[in-house]
Amino acid sequence: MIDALNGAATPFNLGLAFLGVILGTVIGALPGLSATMAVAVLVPFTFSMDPASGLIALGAVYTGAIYGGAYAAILVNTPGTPAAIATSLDGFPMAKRGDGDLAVTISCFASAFGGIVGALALLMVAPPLATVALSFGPVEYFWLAIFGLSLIAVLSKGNTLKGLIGGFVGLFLSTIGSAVIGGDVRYTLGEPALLGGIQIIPALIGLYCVPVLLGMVATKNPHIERAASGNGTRISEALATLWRSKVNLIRSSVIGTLVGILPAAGGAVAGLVAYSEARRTSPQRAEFGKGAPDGVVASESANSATVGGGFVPTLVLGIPGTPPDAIILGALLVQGIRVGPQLFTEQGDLVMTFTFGLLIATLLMIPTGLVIGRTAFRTISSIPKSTLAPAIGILIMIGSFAVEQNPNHVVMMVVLGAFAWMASRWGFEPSPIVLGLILGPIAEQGFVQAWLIGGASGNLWGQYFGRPISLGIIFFTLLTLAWPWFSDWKLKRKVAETPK
Amino acid sequence: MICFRHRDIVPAVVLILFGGWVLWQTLEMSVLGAVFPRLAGIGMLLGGITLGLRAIFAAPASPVPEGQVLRPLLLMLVLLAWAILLPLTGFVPTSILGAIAVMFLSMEDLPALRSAVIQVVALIALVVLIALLFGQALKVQLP
Repeated sequence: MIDALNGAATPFNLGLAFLGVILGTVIGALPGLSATMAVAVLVPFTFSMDPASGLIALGAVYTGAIYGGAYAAILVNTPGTPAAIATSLDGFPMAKRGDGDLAVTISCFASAFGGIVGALALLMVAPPLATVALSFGPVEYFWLAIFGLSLIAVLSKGNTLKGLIGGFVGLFLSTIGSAVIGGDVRYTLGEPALLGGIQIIPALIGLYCVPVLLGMVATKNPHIERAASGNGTRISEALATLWRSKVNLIRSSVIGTLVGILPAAGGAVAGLVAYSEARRTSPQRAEFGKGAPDGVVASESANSATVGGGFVPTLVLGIPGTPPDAIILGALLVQGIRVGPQLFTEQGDLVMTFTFGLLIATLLMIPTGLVIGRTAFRTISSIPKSTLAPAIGILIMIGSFAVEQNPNHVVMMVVLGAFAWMASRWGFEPSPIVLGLILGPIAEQGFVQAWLIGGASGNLWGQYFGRPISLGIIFFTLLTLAWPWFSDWKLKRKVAETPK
Repeated sequence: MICFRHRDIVPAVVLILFGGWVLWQTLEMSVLGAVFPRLAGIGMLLGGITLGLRAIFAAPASPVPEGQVLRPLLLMLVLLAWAILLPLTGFVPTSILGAIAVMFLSMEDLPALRSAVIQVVALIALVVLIALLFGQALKVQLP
C-alpha cells in the first residue's frame, strides 16, 4: 500500500492530477461541456503515458469536471454537467440573494468529501459491491427510474399538479424519435433531425439557461446580488454549514457511491436521489428550493461520490458505471489492460496507485476549487447584464452545438428554451420536465425489457413485483411520495395538540 | 365562485388539445411502443382537465410574472435567427452579430459611444477566443 501511495505521489503524477483537476473544472464549468466530453477530449493525451499516470490524469479530469458543473449551476442556473441539476435548485437561489460565494465554497468542500468517500469505497469494498450491482436487471432499472420520477413530488415546490404535468411533458419529450425497443418512429413530424430524439445536453441548456437569459432582459433587477461581506470564499461559514449538515453529507456521499456503482445511472440520478433524501429528512424542508445550503451539500457530495463508485463496476466487471467511465474503459483497453476481477489480483498495484491518485486529485480540488470559485463568483457578480447576457448567449450556442456538432441541436435548444420560458410564466418549473426527459428512456427500456422477459417466462407480475431489490425500491418510492403528506399531517397534529 | 378568466385556463386548454393529439398519434404505434406515449398523453390530458377545473371552480392564487414581455420576445427571435443562421453564415460572424444584438437588448439605457465600442470589442474578442478554444484546442468542427 505504501508503494502504491509513493507511486501516486511522484512529482509527475502530482502535476498530472493538479493539471487534470484544473482542466476538468474549467471544462465542466462551461455549459454544454459535460464530464464525459472533458474526459473524451483529453483521452488521447494519456496514450503515451504509463497506465497508472494515464488513469490518474483521467480520474482527475473527471473529478474536476463533476465539481466544475456546480459553478454554472450556482451562478447562472445552468448545470454545467447533468450531474449538477440538483445543485441549481438551491445554489442559484443562494447566488441570487448574494450567497453565491458561500454556495460555491460549500460545493467545493462537499464535492471533496463525496469524492473521498467514493475513492475509499473503490479501495475497500469494490468487489462485493460490484456483485450486488450485477443483480440489477431491467425491472430494477425501471423501478429506479420510477423512484426518480417520484421526486417530482419533491421538486414541485408546493404546486404538485403543475409538477406532475411537467413530468408528463418531459416524459412525452423523451418519447420523441425512434422507440427504444421496437423501432416505432414517434412524434418526429417527418423531420429527420428528430429521429435521434431530444438530446439531453441541448435540452438542459434550453430548459434551464434560456429562461434565465430571457428573464435577464425582462427586468431591471441585477442578475445575482453581489456579496455584501466576506472575502469571496467564506470558508468558516461553509465548514460550519457542513458540520451542521454532517449526517446529510455522509448519507449523500454513500448514496452517490451506491448509485455510481449501478451501471449507467450516473451523477444526475445520484444528485437528485440525495437531494430528495436530504429534503425528506430535513426539519427545514420548506426552505429547499429557496436557497437551502443543505440542498447544495446533498447534490454535490453525491455527484462527486459517483466518480469513485463508478470505477467499481468499471474496473471489477468491465461495465462502465457512468458515461465517462466508458471512455476511461476504452482508454484502458487501448493501454492493453484487461479489466475484470483478475485486474485486482494480477495488477493490484495499478488499481491501488490509481485509487490513491484519485484521492490526491480530490484533495487538490479543494485549493484549486476555492481559488477558481472565488474568481468565478466575483467575476460573474460584477459583470453588467449587457455583457453577461451576450456571453451566456455565445456559450449556450457553442455548448449545444459542441456535443454532437449538430446545428439542429442549437435550434432544438432555443425552441425548448422558449417553451420553458413561456411555461415558467404560467408557473411550470423546468426541473420536473428535465426529470421526465432523463428518466423516461430508462423507465421505458426497463419496462419493455421486463415485459418481454416476464412474458417469455410466464411470470409477468412476478417480474415486476416479485424481486427483492425491486420491492425495496418500490418501498422507497412510496415512502418518498407519502413522506411530505405524512410529515405535514404530523406537524399539524403536533401544533393542534400544543396547549395555547 | 366560478371564474373563466383565470391565468391557468390557457395552459389547461393547450394541455387538453396537445394531450389529445399525443394520444391520437399512438393509434399508429406498436403495442409496446405506445405504452409510454399513451402514459404521457393521458397524463397531459388529465392534468389539463384538472388544471382547468381547478382554475374555474377554485381559482387558486396565481402570481403574475414580473417584467416586460416585448424584450424577451425580441431576444427569443434573435436567438432563433442566431441558431438558424449558424450553419449558413459560420460560427464567428453569426455569433458576433448575435452577441451584439443581445447586448443592445439587455441594456437598460442607451450607453455612451465609448462604452458601447468597448463592449463590442470585448464581445468580438470573446467570440474569437471561444472559437479558438473549441475549434483548435478541443477539436470541435465549428460551422
